[in-house]
Amino acid sequence: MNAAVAHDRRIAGLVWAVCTGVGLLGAAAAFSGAAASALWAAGSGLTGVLAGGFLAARVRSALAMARGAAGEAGSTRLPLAPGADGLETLCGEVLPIWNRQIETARSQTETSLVDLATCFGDIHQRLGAALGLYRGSTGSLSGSEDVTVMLEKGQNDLQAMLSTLRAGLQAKQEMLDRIREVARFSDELKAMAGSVSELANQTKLVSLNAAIEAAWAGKAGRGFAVIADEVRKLSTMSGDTGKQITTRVDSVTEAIQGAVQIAERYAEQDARAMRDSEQLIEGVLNVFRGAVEHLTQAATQFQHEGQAVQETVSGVIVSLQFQDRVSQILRQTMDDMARLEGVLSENRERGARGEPAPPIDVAAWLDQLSSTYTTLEQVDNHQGTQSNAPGNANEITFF
Amino acid sequence: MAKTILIVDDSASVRQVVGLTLKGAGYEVIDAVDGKDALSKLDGRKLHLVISDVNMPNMDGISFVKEMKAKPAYKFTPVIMLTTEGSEAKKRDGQMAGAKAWVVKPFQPAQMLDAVSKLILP
Repeated sequence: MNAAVAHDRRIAGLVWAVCTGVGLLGAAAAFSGAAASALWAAGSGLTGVLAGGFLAARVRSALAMARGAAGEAGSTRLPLAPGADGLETLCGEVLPIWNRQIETARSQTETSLVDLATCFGDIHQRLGAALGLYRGSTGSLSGSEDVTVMLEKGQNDLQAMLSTLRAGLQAKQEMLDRIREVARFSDELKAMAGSVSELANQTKLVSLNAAIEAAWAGKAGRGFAVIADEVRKLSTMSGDTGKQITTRVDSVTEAIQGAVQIAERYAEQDARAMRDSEQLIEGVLNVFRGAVEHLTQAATQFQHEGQAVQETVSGVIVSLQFQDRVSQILRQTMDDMARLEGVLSENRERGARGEPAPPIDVAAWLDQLSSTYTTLEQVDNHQGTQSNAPGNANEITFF
Repeated sequence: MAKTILIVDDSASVRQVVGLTLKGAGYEVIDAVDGKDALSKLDGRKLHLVISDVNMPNMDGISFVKEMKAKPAYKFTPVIMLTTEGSEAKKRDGQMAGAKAWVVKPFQPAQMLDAVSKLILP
C-alpha cells in the first residue's frame, strides 16, 4: 500500500466518520422517548451510517481518480503542500464539499419532514374531526348513561301503553260482570212472570167458585155471576200476559247469555293477547338492550382507540421537531467548517505570497465555537460528554 | 371570528408543526421565516399573539420582538419565545425585549395551547 492510497483511506474514513456522526446525532436527537421517536432514531442513525459509507466510497474514488488524472496529465489540480502532506490544500477543497453535502442532507431532511408533518397533521385533524362528528351524532352510543336513559324511557313508554291496555281489559271485565248481573235479573223476571201466571190461575179458580155460588143463589146471584165471569176473563188475560212475559224473558235471557259468552270469549282472547304483548315487548326490549350494550362497548372501544391514535400522532408531531434541533446543530457545524475553510484559504494566500501563516489559537477557536451553541447537547458534546438528550418537551417559563 | 397568531421561525418544519397545533385549536395562523420577514408582514394588521424563534438569519427573534414592541400597534401584543435555547441569560434577554413566556423546543401541543390560551389577547 503506497502513501497516496493510505492518505485517501484516511480522508474517506474521516468522511464516513463525519456522516455517521451526523446520522447518529439525528438519531440521538430523535430518541426523545415518544413512541415514534425510536423509529426516527433508528432511521436517522441508519441513514447516517449508510450515507457515510456511500460518501466515503465516493470521496475515496474521486481522490484516486484525481490523483490518477494528475499523474497522467502532470496536472497539479490537487497540489500537496510539502511537510503537511497536502492537508491544508485538501481541507480547502474538501470542506466546501462536505458543507454542501451536509446542507443537501439537511435541506432534504427538512423538506421530507415538512411533508411528513403535513401528512400527520392531516391525519390528526381528520381523526379529530371524525371523533368530533362521532361524538356529536352518536354520543348516545358512546355515552352509556344517555343510552340507559333512552332505554328506560322506551321501557316506561311501553309500560304505560300496557297499563292503558290493562285498564281497557279491566273496563271490559266490569261490563261483563254487569251483563251477568242483568242475566241474573232476567231469571228473577221469569220467576215473577211465573207468579203472575199462578195468580191468574188461582184467580180463575176463585171466579169459577164464585160463578157456582152465584148459580146456587138464583136470581139474587145473577149480578154476582156477571162479576165472576168478568173476573175469570181478567184472570185468563193475566195468565196470557204472564205467559208472554215468560216468553220474552226467555228470549232476553237467551240473548244476554249469548252476549256474555261472546264477551267472555273476547275477554279471554284479550287477556291472552295482553300476555303475549307483554312477553313480546320484554323480548324486543331485551334484544334492543343487548344490541345497545354491544354497540356501546364497540363505540367506547372505538373512541378509546381513536383517542390513542390521536395521542400517538400528536407524539409523532412532537418528535418531528427534532429536525429543527438537528438542523441547528448541522448549520452550526457547517458554519465552523466554513470558518476553518476561510482560515486555511487565507493561509494558502499568505503562503503564495511567501508570508508565514500565523499559528491558530486553538483555545480561542474553541471558545468562539462554544459561544455559537444553542442547544444543551452541543454544549455536552463540546465538553466531551456524548449527549443524547434532545431536551424536555415540558419546559415553559412565564415572565 | 378566529384570533390571529403570527409564527416566526426559520425552520419550515417548526412553522408547520406549530401551525398545525394552532389551526387544530381554531386559531388563524400567518407565518414568517425570520424577524425581518415578520416585520414586513405586520402591516398594521391585528395580531392576538406572536410565537417567535430566537436564532434566525437576517434578524433574530429578540431583535424582532424589540422592533415590534416599539410600534404602538403591537406594544401590548403578547409574545411567546419558542427556541432550543435554554440559558437563563437568553431568557432574560427575551423578557427584557417584552416576551411573556419562554418555551423550549420540542414543545408539547397541549402545553403550547395552554400557554397561548393564557396569554392571547381577548
